[in-house]
Amino acid sequence: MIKNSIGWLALLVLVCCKHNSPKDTPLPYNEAEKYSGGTSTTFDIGEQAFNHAVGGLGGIYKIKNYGSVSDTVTFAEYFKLGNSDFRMPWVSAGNTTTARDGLGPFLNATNCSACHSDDGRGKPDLQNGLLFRLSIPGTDAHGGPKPEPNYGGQLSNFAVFGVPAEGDVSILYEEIKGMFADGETYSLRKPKYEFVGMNYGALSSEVLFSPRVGPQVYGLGLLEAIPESEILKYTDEFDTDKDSISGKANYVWDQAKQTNSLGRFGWKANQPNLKQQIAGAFLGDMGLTTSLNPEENLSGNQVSLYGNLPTGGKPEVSDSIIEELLFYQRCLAVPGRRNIDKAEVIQGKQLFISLNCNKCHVEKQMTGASTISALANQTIYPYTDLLLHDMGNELADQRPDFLATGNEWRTPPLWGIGLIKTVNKHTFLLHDGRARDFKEAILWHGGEAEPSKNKFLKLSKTERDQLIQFLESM
Amino acid sequence: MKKVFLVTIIVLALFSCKKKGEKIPVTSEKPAITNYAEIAYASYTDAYNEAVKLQNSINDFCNAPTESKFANLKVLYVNTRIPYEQTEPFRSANGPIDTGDDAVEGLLNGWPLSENFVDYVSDGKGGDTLSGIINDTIRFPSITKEVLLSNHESGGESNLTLGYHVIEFLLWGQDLNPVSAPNSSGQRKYTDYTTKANFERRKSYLKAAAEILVDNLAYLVDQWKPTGAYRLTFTAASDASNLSNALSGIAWFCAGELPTERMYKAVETGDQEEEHSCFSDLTDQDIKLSMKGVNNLMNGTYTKVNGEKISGIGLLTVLQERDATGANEVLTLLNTALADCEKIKAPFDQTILNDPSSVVKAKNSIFNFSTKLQTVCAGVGITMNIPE
Ligand code: HEC
Ligand code: HEC
Repeated sequence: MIKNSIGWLALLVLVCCKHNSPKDTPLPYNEAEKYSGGTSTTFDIGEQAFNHAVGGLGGIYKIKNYGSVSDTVTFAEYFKLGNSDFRMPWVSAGNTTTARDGLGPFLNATNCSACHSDDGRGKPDLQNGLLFRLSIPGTDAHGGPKPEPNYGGQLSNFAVFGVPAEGDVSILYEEIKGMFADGETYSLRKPKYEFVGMNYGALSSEVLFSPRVGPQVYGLGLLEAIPESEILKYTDEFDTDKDSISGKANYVWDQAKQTNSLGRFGWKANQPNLKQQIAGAFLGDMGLTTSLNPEENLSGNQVSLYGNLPTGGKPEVSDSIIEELLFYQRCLAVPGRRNIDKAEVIQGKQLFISLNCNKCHVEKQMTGASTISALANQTIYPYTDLLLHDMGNELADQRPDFLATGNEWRTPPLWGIGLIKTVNKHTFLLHDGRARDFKEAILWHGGEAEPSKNKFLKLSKTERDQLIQFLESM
Repeated sequence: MKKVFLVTIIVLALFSCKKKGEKIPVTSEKPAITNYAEIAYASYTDAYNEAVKLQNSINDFCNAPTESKFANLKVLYVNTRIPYEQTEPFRSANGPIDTGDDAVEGLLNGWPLSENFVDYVSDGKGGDTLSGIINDTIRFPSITKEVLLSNHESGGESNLTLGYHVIEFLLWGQDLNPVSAPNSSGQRKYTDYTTKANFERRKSYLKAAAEILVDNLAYLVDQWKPTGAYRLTFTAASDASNLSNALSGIAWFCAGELPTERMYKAVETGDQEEEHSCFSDLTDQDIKLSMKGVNNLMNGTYTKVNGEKISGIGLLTVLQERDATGANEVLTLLNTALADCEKIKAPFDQTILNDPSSVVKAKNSIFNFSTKLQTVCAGVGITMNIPE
């Protein structure tokens, strides 16, 4: 297929250009690092940078006969179906397009791309990718968060026509001033949330909540293909190596296996695999049932109020749509790095290492076997250990999620984050989007990362810029 | 049909390897680009003029509704769809339809929609729900243009208040026919505008929606007219970039949008109403017309509603000058696609359920055309920017 081959073409040419003009002196960087997502990396650096299929998606997905017409569906075409599922909005039950109906009654959005715009990063507001997980102290039957009695596990700020939304959140930021060792000042904004217009009774006085922004969704098939043993290699729960950095695996309920499995996805590594993550998004974010989650997302008196509303079938989302989306999410290519031979970037990378950033944002991983050959046995540069770390009280949501405590967050991969600005036209970072740029994201690091942050504060202006240029090259 | 962003893929690398001065001088570029703009201007103007006729008749109908006037509104609706659908290949080409903050595609042609955000729908038990802006007198005490504009996509992208498909719904109503029914489209009665609950509000809605449709088409005409803001930018841009945008838009439309999203998805889903014109059952028309639009641009021709013909240099000529063999292959595949589209059986909803073979064949042909177009363009150094 030609459509996703532009990046490939560019890459190919880049490579052949290199051959024509070999560098004389060896550079202190590794050319391979450019291929963040292994051989299937994309080198599009434009607005669609996050929306490409991994290369080498050759082969035929299926051949189907329609009378005399035989239709050969390639994997590249199959990928496009998933792309369409990701972007197209769902409609509420009772509407004409029954294949895409059943939305709600309660919802945060009508389509995946509302929160993962162009497969990228959401913004810190409830219309564009921010949602609020809710619970009360204690655990559910599987060790997960215990849902808030009236509102369940997530606040739905929208609902279908005729049903009042659950409520809304007003967000205020408080500016906190600080200073680098060299005297340059900075300001961080700390969010304050207030639940307003709650329509289904009072929130529990013990309510725990966790604000989360939709992360970018490329490279996930690769992360899923990292063998468990590779991830567990980095755990150091009791910090035996005394570098202040531990690293803890989350074990979360795996609905299909009916047992606990290693958590990999979500800001607290609270989902074990992509399929469950996607089904969870359908139910929690859009009010759509799947064979994995056959019951509507209603809590408290919503069951008696709206339990009889028409649905979009049982389940509302067909298994074939889940499979299309799963394939799509697995096969989104990772953008490659830029400017890795630039002196500032090389310096920045040295600082990244000397500040111990790489103890959590682990540079290199290897994938194992995968049903999709483009994802198998790849050397990748995701800059994550996929493990939980105590990030201090300032970043804490104080809401446990399986084994993750209120202070713990999963190290997010840093690959591609330099392009969020281009794709999503903003630079908000961290789980709740409070950081307005890379500098602020680093300055919010605390807990296990406190020593790294403190070293960052002591860097010279030039060095700080170099570190940031390194992050921008991602 | 949602917002589509243009990629600025860096294929610079490609050129950096090439030696300067290799480019073959091409004489047809400028006239082909000018002609492309002329066709855009003419087809949007036609869509606008026909929409104005529809709007006038809607106003007249609302003043004194009759059954025959109502039937005529559907004819007039189709009349504005005919030129509008031919403009679809202007999508994803950096043009005013879907680029920038003032892009109007979502306001004109958004799909799918939760039509119960607009009006009543079947409650599945033989009655109607009292749903939608039209029936919600408390949240929407009055129905005005401003109300429709400010509530478009409020609470979710499928909450459309505006556009062709909303007007289509207000004219045809839900298609509740079993797939075996001979009469396949929605059967809204004109009495929805005379006696049915909230009929006055329904009239206000229809009038406001028509007015906004006209406004948005006027915007496009205004942008593309010879002195229009976009036209001036377009003229000032390099031929190479205009050419690249124009051909990328066509290739995108014939790869991702039309054959995959609108045709294959419909077949694969196997749902009766997985079709863009699900109320009027005119989806097969939409497909044929949008491919006609592709043909217009490739060949540089357009027949206006008044019969006048534009015939200038088409994009194919530009390709021919650079790669005659390749261009001919493109032309052959385009003609196959057009012929296969003509064979799509109507109504689309019954076709996708009973015998989708004609749709499958056509979508493959459209796809093949696009694939070849992309190869040939890339081969002659035309940058293709095609979002997935
Ligand atoms: C209302 C906003 C919203 C919608 C709609 C939404 N998501 Fe998400 N998505 C999120 C948030 C927030 C997270 C992080 C969740 C967490 O930490 O538990 C997330 C996480 C994910 C992840 C894991 C990414 C990672 O790196 O760990 C995937 C995959 C995903 N979403 C896919 C989807 C799909 C597919 C859909 C549509 C079916 C969807 N999302 C709809 C907000 C949303
Ligand atoms: C102890 C582990 C740890 C160390 C050390 C660490 N980080 Fe992080 N980093 C995290 C975690 C966990 C998060 C997510 C925190 C959150 O969202 O609240 C994060 C978030 C980030 C983000 C924002 C990512 C995003 O997707 O929003 C950036 C950028 C970042 N880190 C850079 C750095 C740099 C640079 C250093 C070294 C100065 C560093 N980190 C050191 C664990 C660590």
